[in-house]
Order: sequence, then C-alpha cells, then structure tokens
Amino acid sequence: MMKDSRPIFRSQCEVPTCSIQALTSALILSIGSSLGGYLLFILGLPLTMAGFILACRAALNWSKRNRTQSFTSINALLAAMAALGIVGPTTGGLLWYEVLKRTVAVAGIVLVGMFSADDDVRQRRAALIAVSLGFVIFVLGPIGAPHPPIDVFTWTQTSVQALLHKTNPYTVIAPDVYLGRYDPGYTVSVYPYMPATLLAYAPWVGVLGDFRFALAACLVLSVVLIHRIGNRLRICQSLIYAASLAIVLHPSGPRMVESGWSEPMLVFGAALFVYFALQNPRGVGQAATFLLLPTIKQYVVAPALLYLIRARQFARPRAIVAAAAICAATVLPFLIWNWHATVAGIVFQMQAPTVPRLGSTSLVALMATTSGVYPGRWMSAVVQVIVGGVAWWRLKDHGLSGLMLASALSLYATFLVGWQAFVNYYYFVGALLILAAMLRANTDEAA
Amino acid sequence: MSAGVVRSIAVAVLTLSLWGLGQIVYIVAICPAHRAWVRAQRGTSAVVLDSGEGVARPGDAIFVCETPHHIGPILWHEDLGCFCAPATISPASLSKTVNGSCTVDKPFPARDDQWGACRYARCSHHENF
Repeated sequence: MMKDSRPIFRSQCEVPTCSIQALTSALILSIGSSLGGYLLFILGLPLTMAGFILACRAALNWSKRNRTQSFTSINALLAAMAALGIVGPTTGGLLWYEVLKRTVAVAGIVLVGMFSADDDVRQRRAALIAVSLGFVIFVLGPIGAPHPPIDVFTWTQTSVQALLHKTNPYTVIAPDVYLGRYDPGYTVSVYPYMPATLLAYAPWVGVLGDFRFALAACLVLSVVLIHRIGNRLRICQSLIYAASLAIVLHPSGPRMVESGWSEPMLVFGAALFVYFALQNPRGVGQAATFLLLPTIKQYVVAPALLYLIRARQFARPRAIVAAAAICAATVLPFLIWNWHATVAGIVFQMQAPTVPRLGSTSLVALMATTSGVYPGRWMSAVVQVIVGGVAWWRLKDHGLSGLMLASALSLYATFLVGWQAFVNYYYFVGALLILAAMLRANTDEAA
Repeated sequence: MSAGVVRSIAVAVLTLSLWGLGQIVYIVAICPAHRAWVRAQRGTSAVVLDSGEGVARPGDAIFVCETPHHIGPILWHEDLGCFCAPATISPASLSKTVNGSCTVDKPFPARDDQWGACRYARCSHHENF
C-alpha cells in the first residue's frame, strides 16, 4: 500500500525549521481543540491559541533557510495525542468499539516511542503499524457507533435517503435526536450543509446504508495521498510518517467519522489538490479540487478567494472555467429543483444562530461565558478575509506551501473569533498546516 | 524497552496527569454549580442557571437539587443544579436518583421565564424515568 522505495537514513533527515514549526502547530492544535468540557477554557482554548501563535511564527519564518534535524517535540506531541485518545469522550459507541479504540490509543503511545528510534526499519515498521491500526478504527467507526447522539448524523442520513428516494433533501425534516433537550440558539429546520455533500454521500448510503463510510474512506485516502505527496516531493521519511501519524493519532480522529462531520472530506480534498497540483501544476484537476472545497463546507471562503486572486499562478484560465463549471454542477440542479429550500439550507448556519455556542473553542465563547458580552457573528467572516489577505501577502512567493499556510491561518483565525468553533473545524485547519509543512520541506521548493 | 518507548510512556503519563489535574482545577476553582450553591447560602442571588444549551423537554418540570460533588472518593463540596425530569416525578424520587435533595422550581417551565432559580427553562442535567 505505502511502500518505501528510497533508503533514507534518519541521520540525513533535515527539514526547514519553519516546516517543523507548522507541523508542531498542527499537533498542538489537535490537542487543544480536542479538550472540551471542564478543560475547554483551562487548557483547550489556551493550547489552541498557542498553536495559532506558532503557526504565525512559522509564517514569519517561511522564507528563512534554517534547518533542523530535531523531531523531539514532534514525537512528544504525537505521544501526547495518543494518550488523549485513551480518555476521549464517547460518541455513543458500543462497548467493544470503545475498548478497541482506547486499546489502539495505548498501542499508539508505544508505537510513537518505537517511531522515535534511530533505526530506520524499526521507525518505518512502527509508523506503518500505527497507521494501519488507525485505518481499522476509522473504518469500524460507523459500525462501532451505529447511533451517534448528534444532529449532524440524523440530518445527513435523512437528507441523503430522501435524495435517493427522489425527494428534495432540503425539504425533509429529520427527527430531533436530542428529543428537545438542547437549545443551541436556533432550531434546525432544513439540511444546513452544501449539496455536494449529499452527492458525495449518496452512493455510500445506497450501497452500505451509512454515509460515514465515505468519511472513513476519505481519511484513509488522505493518509495514502500524504505519503504519495511526500514521496513526490522527495522529503525525508520521518516527516512523511509524522504527517501520517498526525492524522491517525488525532485524539478526535475517530469522532470525525462517528459523528458524521464533513471535514474528512475537506482534508481529502486538500490532499488531492496538492497531489494533482504536483502531478499537473496548471491542470483542471487541481483547480477543480481546490474550488470544490467551499462547495463542501460553507466556511472555506478566504482560501478560495486567495486561490482565485492568484489564479494565473496556479492554473490556466480554461482550467479555472472548467473547475467553476464543475462546482456549479454540484449546486445548480438543487437550485433548479427548489431554489428557496436550497438557499435556505446553504445560508442556514450564517443566519439562524442568535447566540454563540458556549462549548466552542473560541475567544467569543469565552467572552460570552464569562461576561455575556460578545461581538457580532460577522466578525469572524471579516477576520477570515483580513488574516487570509495579510498571510497571503506575506506568503505569496511560496506557491503551494504559501497557499496552504495562508488558508490555514485565515480559517484558524476565523474560528478563534467565531460563534461556533468545534474540533471538526480545527481538524481541517490542522490538515492544511500539515500539508503546508510538507510542501515547505521540499528541498528545492518547486512546490 | 527502548529509550524512545520509555520517553513516549513518560510523555503520555504526564499528559494524562495534566488532563486529570485540569479536571480537578475546574472542580475546585471554577465549578459553576458550587458557585450557585455559595450564592444561595449567602443569599446574594437565587439564580442557579439562566444560560446554557440544556432546556426542559415537553412534559418536563425543573427541579433544583443540592448534590454532593466528589473528586474520586473524596467529597469536595456541595453543588446546586437545575435538573429537568418528567413532571410526574416527585422531588423525593428525584432526590433518591441524584443522591441529593431536590425541590420543584417550576412545574411548567417556559422559555421566557424570568423568575425562580432556573430561568428560561434552562437545566444542566436531564433525568429519565
């Protein structure tokens, strides 16, 4: 599956310091954003903030040529991530699955220890075992947590089933999984996500009966792509494996699949974009994949704008037009079918909330919790565009790695000041940081 | 066992220790339910809960319950919380279930309630019978 062809020794593994900083920020973010409940404002938000500061530092150092051989902090953070997998919250998982998931987390700690060895063979073996175990957990997620108590699952499953029965998915009402016990400040009355998600999930529901298998497949394929990208860039194996482990050892990784969050699809999209961009730098494939990201999740605004502003750098005009047509093809049929319901669904998250979600990993949630005072919901959109613009201005000469890092920073900032910012949102940011770190580690920085 | 594995286990133990310590810090220093209990004892405010995402379900009454808060086996302090439970349940039954002392705050809670201990039909716990 992921065979190594090049005999690279750990002693030769030297990568740009800024690349390690970007990867470190992704790992700190994965830990911080996974700490909710009692720890949300004590450890979760401060660590998430620390990750953002480190990502900014990486951006400031992105042009510097300093290199490092030290992976000590990366290995320590990977071990910490695996440890948090032991005590992570349940998503209504069956006992066998919860036991298996936590046993794999324990095994992850030992495997990270083996991964940190100087012996290349041992390192590779440990990484591949950890990645394989992660794949097993991802794939078992829908089976191990068959009825997750989260509205995203019921809404998506109900809407996709409606689509398969030729009923407009934006006109059906899913049952309230909470039975009226939660009031997040709005009542969901329509499928609040993009039509492309329904199209992507439909075959999986049709064949396997559960759309979450698509998410598991996305995560597995993302890790495979990360490995291919690393080999294509000819970066050192330690970094490639560390990037793969960052995905599979994420303390909330299994929850992405169990809860039915769409972010694994974004992660796959971003990885596929980088892969296509390296294969055929100005082709339709990379343009379509990147511009499809906002058709999967509404919040991916600034990255698409940054890409379009520098479109000439990334793609031929024809490729952009073809990509735009592909994106439009995911939305137009639904608009023609019932434009009112479709638009209501697409803009729901921007209009419906009346108060910030207090369980969010954001400064706004902290303000709302402690003082009851908070900024308007549009501040996060403004921040996304400003931070994206500033970051892109700083990183515009770094091609793909600059685009990935600027995209990550813009979304990171927007969630930190957002009314709603949960671990799944940050999961995508972390993946962008990982991809940026890999692209920057390329010796000739052709990417 | 290699040095790398020992280091990894040490990091994991440290991480889990910090995780546990964070939980204890929250209970000792922040616990909003205990603060509500302190306010009630001092008579500074009768409001136990007026925000949050938990609300009464149709057919629920809201009870105010004084419950013990433990850290492991140690009784740390008393909490005052708003519990949503079917209106047909008596305070005595609920008290037994939550191992505390409950009284009815609102037999028919409404989202615009601005009186009593548990306002706007908010509750921090849901009990099923």
